[in-house]
Amino acid sequence: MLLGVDVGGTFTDAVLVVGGRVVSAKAPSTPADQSLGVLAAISAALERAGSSAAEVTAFCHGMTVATNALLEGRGVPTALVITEGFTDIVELGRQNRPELYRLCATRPAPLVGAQLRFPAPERMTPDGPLRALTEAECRALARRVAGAGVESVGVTLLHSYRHPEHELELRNALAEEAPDVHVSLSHEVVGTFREYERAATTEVDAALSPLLGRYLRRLEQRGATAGLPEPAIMQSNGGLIDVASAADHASWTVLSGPAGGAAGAAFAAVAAGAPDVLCFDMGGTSCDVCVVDGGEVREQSAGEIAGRPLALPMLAVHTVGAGGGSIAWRDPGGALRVGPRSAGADPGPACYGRGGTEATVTDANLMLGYLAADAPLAGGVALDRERAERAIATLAAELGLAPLDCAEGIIEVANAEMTRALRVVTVQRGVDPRRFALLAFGGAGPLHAAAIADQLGITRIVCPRASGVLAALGLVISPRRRDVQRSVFLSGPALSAAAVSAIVAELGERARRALGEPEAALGATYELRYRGQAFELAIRGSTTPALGELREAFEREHDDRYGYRDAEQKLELVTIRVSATVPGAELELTAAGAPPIQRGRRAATLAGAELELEVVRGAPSPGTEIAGPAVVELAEATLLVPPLWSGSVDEAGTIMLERPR
Amino acid sequence: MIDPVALQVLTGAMHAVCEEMGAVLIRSAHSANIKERRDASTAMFAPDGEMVMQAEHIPVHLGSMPAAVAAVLGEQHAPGHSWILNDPYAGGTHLPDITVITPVFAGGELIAFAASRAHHADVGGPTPGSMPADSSTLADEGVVISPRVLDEAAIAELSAMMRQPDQRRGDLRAQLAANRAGVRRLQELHDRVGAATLRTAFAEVLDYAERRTRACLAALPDGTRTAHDVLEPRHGQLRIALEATVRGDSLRLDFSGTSAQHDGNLNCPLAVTRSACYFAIRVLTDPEIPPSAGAYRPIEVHAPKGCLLNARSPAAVVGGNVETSSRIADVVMGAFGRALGQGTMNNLTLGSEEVVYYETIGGGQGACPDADGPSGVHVAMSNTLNTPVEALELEFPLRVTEYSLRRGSGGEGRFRGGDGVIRELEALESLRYSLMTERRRHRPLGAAGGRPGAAGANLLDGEPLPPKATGELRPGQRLRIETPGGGGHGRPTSDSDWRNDWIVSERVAFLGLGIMGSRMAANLARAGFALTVWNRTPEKAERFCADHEAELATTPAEAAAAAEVVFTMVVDGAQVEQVLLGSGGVADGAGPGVLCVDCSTIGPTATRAIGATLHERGLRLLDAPVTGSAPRAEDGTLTIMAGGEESDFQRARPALEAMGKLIVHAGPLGNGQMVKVINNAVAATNAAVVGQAMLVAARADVDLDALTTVMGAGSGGSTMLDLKAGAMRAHDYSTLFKLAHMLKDVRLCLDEGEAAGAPFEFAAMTREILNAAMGRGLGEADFAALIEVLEGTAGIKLH
Repeated sequence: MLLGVDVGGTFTDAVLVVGGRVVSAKAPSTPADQSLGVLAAISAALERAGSSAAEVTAFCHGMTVATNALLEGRGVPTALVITEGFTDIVELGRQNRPELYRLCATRPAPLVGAQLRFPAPERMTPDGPLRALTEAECRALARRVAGAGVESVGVTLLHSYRHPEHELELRNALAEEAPDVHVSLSHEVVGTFREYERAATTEVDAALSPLLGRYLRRLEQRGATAGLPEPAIMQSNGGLIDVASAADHASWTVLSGPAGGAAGAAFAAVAAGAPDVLCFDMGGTSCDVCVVDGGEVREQSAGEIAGRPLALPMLAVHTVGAGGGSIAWRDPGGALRVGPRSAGADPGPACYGRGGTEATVTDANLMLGYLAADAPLAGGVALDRERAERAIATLAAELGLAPLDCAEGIIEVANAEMTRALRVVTVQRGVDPRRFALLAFGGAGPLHAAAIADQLGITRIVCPRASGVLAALGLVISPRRRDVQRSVFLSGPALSAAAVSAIVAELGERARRALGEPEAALGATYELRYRGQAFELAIRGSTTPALGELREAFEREHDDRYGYRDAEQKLELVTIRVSATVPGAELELTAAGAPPIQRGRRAATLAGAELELEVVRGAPSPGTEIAGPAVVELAEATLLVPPLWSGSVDEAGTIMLERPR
Repeated sequence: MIDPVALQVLTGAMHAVCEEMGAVLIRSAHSANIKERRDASTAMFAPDGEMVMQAEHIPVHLGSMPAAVAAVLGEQHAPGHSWILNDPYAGGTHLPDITVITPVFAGGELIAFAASRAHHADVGGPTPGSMPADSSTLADEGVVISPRVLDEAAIAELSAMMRQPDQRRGDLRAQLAANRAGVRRLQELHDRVGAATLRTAFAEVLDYAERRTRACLAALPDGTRTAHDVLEPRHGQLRIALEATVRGDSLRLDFSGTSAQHDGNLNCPLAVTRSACYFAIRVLTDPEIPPSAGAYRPIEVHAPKGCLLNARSPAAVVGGNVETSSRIADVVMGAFGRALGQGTMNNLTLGSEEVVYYETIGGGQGACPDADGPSGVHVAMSNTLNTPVEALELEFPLRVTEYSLRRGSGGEGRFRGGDGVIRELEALESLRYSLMTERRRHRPLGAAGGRPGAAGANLLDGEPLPPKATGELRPGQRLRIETPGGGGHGRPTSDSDWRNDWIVSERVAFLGLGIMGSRMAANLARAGFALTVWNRTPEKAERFCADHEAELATTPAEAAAAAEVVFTMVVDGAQVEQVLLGSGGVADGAGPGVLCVDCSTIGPTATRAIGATLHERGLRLLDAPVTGSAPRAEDGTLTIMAGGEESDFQRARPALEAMGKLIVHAGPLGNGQMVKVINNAVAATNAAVVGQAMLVAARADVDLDALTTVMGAGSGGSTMLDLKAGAMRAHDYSTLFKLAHMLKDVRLCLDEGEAAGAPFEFAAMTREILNAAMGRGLGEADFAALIEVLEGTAGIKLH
């Protein structure tokens, strides 16, 4: 029996997979100590499944401990050791300002202040040491760190991706002089060139690892007491690692939460026979967008969270600030606007009756009849239609609109915002959205899916039954994975098949050892560029690639992305990344065991017309036909099916909708 | 009229069209300049050439595209026929920015234009990268493309004239691809909503942006504000002057009074001037307003033809785009009371036959009225990334020896200006360097009492280089760039009620740090002026700089080069002339239009003569002698009487207010001096009369306390009685105002009176008394010492 637990902003979701059947449960998240909510969700799920902890064979966990700490700029007291003359590199960043016209908008403050950044009297060049770091200097530095009263230290020395000797010597000195201090070395955490990104990621790793370690040890203990196996932890790259490795490298798990959602979406897409999908996960305050291509979530070599760069491979998940709680308002030019301000979960939309008075997207959905006033939302929130109408009437008066027109306007504007974001994201990634199906999940995603699909020219919608717990489900099917990467800068005669294979083998050995799986499958990614370019393209290839293959794959990608290839130009292999993976559980979901649905009718307003929606409440069983205008009220999400859209439910319980082109 | 929902949806749709064009352009471009630095913009226009919407990734393109569409508007348009141009004098900005315009047709009718602009990494010309630091005409900067049809033949022909022609071809095709995406989306929109609605939508979006801008402008107080600043060309200075007038919900920005175009490359076509103004207005109003031409309807930008900001062909312009544009934004922001940022992109090019490396370096942002200015960022029209040290060292024969924040370079204030950056590079092979930098002499100003940021510095092995410099870097030599800090906002201490948000401090120099001068200069420093000082005996100036926020200059010329207003406070006309006009004097270092304010007392005739000579050298003079002795100089409560033109008086006024309490404009040049010498003659005569009165009383055995008490209470009283009676009785001549200086003033008064044909007998008698005191060796004593002469005549001593 497999267990997946995902911690979200409001709820912690647990799923148990028992022979293809998914049993899920929710418990309120407990931000102060997430492990409490985790255990509560697990025991609720076990109870619902009628099982015991002893039956759980694998426990996979996605959490937001590192994410939240980073968003709040909170870490343990940390020191940095950086090459002399460069101690400000994290603060300097890339010298661009975050906003063009708000001149005093700032990037997040460095996690480590100037007084805790120690200069290392050393200097490596691309060709080796210019100024060697002596043993005495190492010791002196280590003593200064020990005397600074910190819990952790990050070490970033220039050119350490190629010459890690000084970083390693420092680790030895720190181990003797400051044995209780956590050490993050930049060449181990990141391993690639570009000092700002490497240093900033190492800073995050150092400042958060002890925090994450404490949480994971607590969770492990509580789990062990409850009779659960050791958890496997989701990383940003969509693979799981053991607790000790995660505690050593918090920076690897910063996007643990969204990675689970993306993995679950990819799984659901493949299971539904739609391997090319645009995934659209809309919650209360934001929506996450990712592209699944051929059944795999697109990855990126690096990303950014809360304004801080992370030079680590991660699933490419893009967040847009529009959700059910987004507030509608009239701007000084007289236009109706939605967001970016959100009523969040507290006070929440006006219809939650918790003190919110401003009209939100959820209020509009309720007033128009898409949400049921008589059925509670996920988490047991009862909706108050009268409050929603009052909030919208106030805004409508300001705008000189009839209230119903105003409510439709709010939905239309919100949809336009999301469509715009989706279009730019897809065009930027070179994806024609019309080729894709739209996979909508999250509490609010399925409500807006059809309108957004229409605007993007998409004609298929996929709505999984487990829409509300897809992230937890994604965890249990994810592989275990360990990445090791290094910038190598091979070109000309140095770029030989033998040299590449040798490095891949070395990195692969390290990755397998770290994973504790000597037989783990190896995959290689090569970041290549034409000599002189300032950016690289990541190409997947064999672990013993022929150079011709590598060049051809790079040039094909270059041609596809940039519209040309340059046969004359020298190729440079900048970075090699090797991942060792052990596949996750094979899963085939069945739709059996769900209680029967109820059908009804409800008046609604859609595209300016009064009409009756067919209401399907509950999880429809395989073969059920659905035709718009209708709403399907799933356990944790509501799907709106406008006229022209229709479809049926597949064997896994997934609703597949289509419309004629 | 369309409803608020449709308005927002259509505004969003227009924005989406431009954004998608931008995404296509960036995605399909070949050069890192467009792909990575995103030096590119896209826009859509109504058929009449008005810009409906823009997606700018870099502010320097803001609002400058309409000129490009205007340049081809009158041509014959056909579906699929695109236009290309880069001529700064026919729709362009500077040559590397190439604009491609494609008309959009639907149903056989022209419904819109799609346009894209991108900074190409090279457009030919003698300098790789086409950003020469020392160009003097447009021809030095690359290939000039007048508006022409862009087809395959044109692409081949043009790219053949540029370096890396494959990349040029690729980037131009990417621009065409971006425009095609725009054409497609606009045609879809047209098919969906119909031609009439689309026309209405264009008009509505433009009107909407206009309404929002007007709402912001209406919130600003009406009135005219002025600001000016200077650029640092290879020779002399260039002045940018602005008069900004808010009237209701509109704004006029008038740059009359700006220097004429010059033979360097800091010139701007009007389009660049406009975009810099729009940038500043966007910062000052609401950045959420859609970047549409409607937003700029309420703003009128005027710059006289032939001036630096509206140059005539074929003036060189490459520096105008990267450096002057920053200064234009600065004066607009300065006029509205905002502290200034580093105001330069610190352009550095290093190269040999084999490699060329170009970088721009961030610096301090000016503080905002409610927040500290960020450190180490690009501040105005640019926002590009740096080159990582590791990438740089892997690619080029260079080593970075330091890259750090220049701590303390931001101006103090209630909110601090951001710190600049230190970047030091060592050559590993011989390389030619070329520096195009600004604010190496003129510090970025603070606002509302905030302190200025530190000026930047360029150093070659520790030796200073000028702001614009080219030369050879030998292996092992180090080039160190220290970028300027931003100005602070608000007085550093919060104990004052200083809340004048409209006052931006100015760069001033103060020459002459004697008893009065040092106290007056100290008040300027305290008020937050960016101050440079000079004194004939350097030790005094050094001591002053140790005690106050001020920069030290070794000559008057050097002090003047860092200032827009220069104060002089020296002993006599000869010294004033020496300091202003002598060798190494103010006129040798000051840029055009610098205002000299002479606070010394030298007489009207000498003042007018010096004023005439300064005028011939392009400088201005105000005479502003002061009364009140050292204690009032200390308190900043001097009386200051000024002569000169009204505009000059207004320019000097904020600084004068920092030093004095009563400030009077007495008429044309020299009148301040006239008022001053008459006043001093009266004071000296009055002092003599008080002295004689006390001697009479002493002879008659009258109690002097009784006498002075009664006189002080009534019609016999005077300031001299209050100030000098006690001193005379005590024979305490500790110097407040030297007797020799008083004699000089009385003589000046008599000379002027004689020249004008007016007698002043009492002053003449006083002159003789002062003369006699000089004979007794009392010239260095306070003029109360004239009592010694009177006591001699009376044959009695006061007690």
